[in-house]
Amino acid sequence: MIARARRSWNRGGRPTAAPYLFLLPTTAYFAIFWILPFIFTIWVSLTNWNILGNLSQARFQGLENYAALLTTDPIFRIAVKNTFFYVVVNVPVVMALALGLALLLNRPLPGRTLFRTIAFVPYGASVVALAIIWKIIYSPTPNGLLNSLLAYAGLPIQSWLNSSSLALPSIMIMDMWKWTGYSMVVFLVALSNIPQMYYDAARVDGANSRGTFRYITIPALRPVFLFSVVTSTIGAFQVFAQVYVMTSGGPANASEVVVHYMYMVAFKWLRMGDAAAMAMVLLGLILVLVMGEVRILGERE
Amino acid sequence: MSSASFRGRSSSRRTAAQEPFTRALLRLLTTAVLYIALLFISFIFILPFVWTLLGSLKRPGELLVVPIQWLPKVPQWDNYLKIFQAMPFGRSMLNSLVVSASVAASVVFIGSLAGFALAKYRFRGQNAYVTFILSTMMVPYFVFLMPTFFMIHALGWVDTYWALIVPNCITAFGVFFMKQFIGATVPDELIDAARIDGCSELRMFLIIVMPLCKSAYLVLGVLTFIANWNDFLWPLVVTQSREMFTLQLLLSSLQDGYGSMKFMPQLMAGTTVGLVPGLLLFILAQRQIVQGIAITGLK
Repeated sequence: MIARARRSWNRGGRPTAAPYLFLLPTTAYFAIFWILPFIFTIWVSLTNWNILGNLSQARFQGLENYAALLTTDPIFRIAVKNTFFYVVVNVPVVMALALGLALLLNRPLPGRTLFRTIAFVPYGASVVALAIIWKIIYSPTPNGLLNSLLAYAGLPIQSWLNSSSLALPSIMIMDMWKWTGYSMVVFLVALSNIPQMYYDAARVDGANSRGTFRYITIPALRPVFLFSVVTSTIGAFQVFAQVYVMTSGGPANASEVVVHYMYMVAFKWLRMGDAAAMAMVLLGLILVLVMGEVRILGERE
Repeated sequence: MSSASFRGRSSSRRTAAQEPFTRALLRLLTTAVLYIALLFISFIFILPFVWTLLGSLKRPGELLVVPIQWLPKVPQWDNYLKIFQAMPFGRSMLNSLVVSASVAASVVFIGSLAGFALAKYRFRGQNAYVTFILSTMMVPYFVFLMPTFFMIHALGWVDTYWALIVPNCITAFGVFFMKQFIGATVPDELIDAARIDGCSELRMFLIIVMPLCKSAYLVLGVLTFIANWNDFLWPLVVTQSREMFTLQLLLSSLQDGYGSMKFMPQLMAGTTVGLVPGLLLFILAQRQIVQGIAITGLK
């Protein structure tokens, strides 16, 4: 400890062990609850471990779980497809809606704080409660709220969560509704951080509003936009409670997503090895997509 | 915005006398359209909540009326009483409160310890440490779900508060948040002065740094509390008995007994009760939450 202590300094340039001690709980936590489980998941994904069985009986079987997932598990394939669809549709739609609303509310409109609060509230509400509420709204009977409104507008009614083609989109619509306000607030904060003098200077130089938007607003928003896209991508990949509460993945797996399926495989059917392999596949998918996003939306030199 | 471009286009075509009137009319029209759009969007955001609140006071038959009957004829306060008697709402709220408050306190305190070390000292491996903490935020929790459950199981903690609190008691977000805050707001001169006065590093943290972090503690504490209050998957995995149910678990279990039309108003009453405490805190703390977004999301 003394030898290590010499390698850290306070601002006066004197050696001290203090930073190591201050970081001790955090370091211990990440070793126990991050590094260890991570390695464990990778290892389990390579075995046939069943949680009821003794860990010592788990047989190492290489990439067999992965191969089985990709070739013989049709539900996993549906779950991956659905999750991918979910992310690829929801992230751009939420970003577009949020950016549009943020630009709208960035003007000095009286009452915009109230509106911001209203749009922001779904983000603070619990997913479980919202899922129950939306399940009632989506009620397939002609007297469900949404169907009543559709009938009122002269549109055909739908069976929403009971329909294999609409179950997943119904959940996605609810999620768009929940997350748009959050991203809107993130964009509003970013917009308010752009110094007004940039705009004033551009005006003096004869720039019109389209010019200032193109050359001031967009570049200033770029890092925040990338941050929002990446965090919502990671978040959307983890969709669970909505599916668990609203459809349990049904009807006939039509709304199955990876984390929900993984939960069922691990904790209902106790096939830990398969579930661990799913976690790793999903992690790989997320990393690939996020890296793609960073490459496309990141800073260009 | 639009007025600037309008001015540019119109001045070449119209006389000076017409201009102010046309411009004012156009601006008025734009504002009106804007407000109608905002009103409509607000309606969409708020309708599910209002519908649930009103529905919780209706008779079951009133939910089936075509066309929609918005207001209950006679408010059925009974719905709340019945669901409260049938389900352990008090206990599950207490569970959620204990868990969320403990986690928030721990995340805030330990986060500021680590954040202080990372912001105000120089040591070998410092940059790698910060990079590691940041990159952990990119890896979703489902990777850790099964091994963590296995650990909790091995410790005999399943169905206890420990299982709900300990695995969440430190967050990378908390450490990073406090590092950003302390780095930006705690003056180095103050720390130097304390050292000259012979103050130990730990004492300095406790009596100088911590009081300066009050506002950050509030922001991080609220964010962490709400996140844990609304958490669902982890409690679902480590809780078994109804006495240990958090509020979210209880809400999700309502569906089993109250899914039919006959119980719909009671289900809506239960959902309202489940929503109100979290939403109230969220709305009251909205300014802090927006501040939190400003501190971390935007570098």
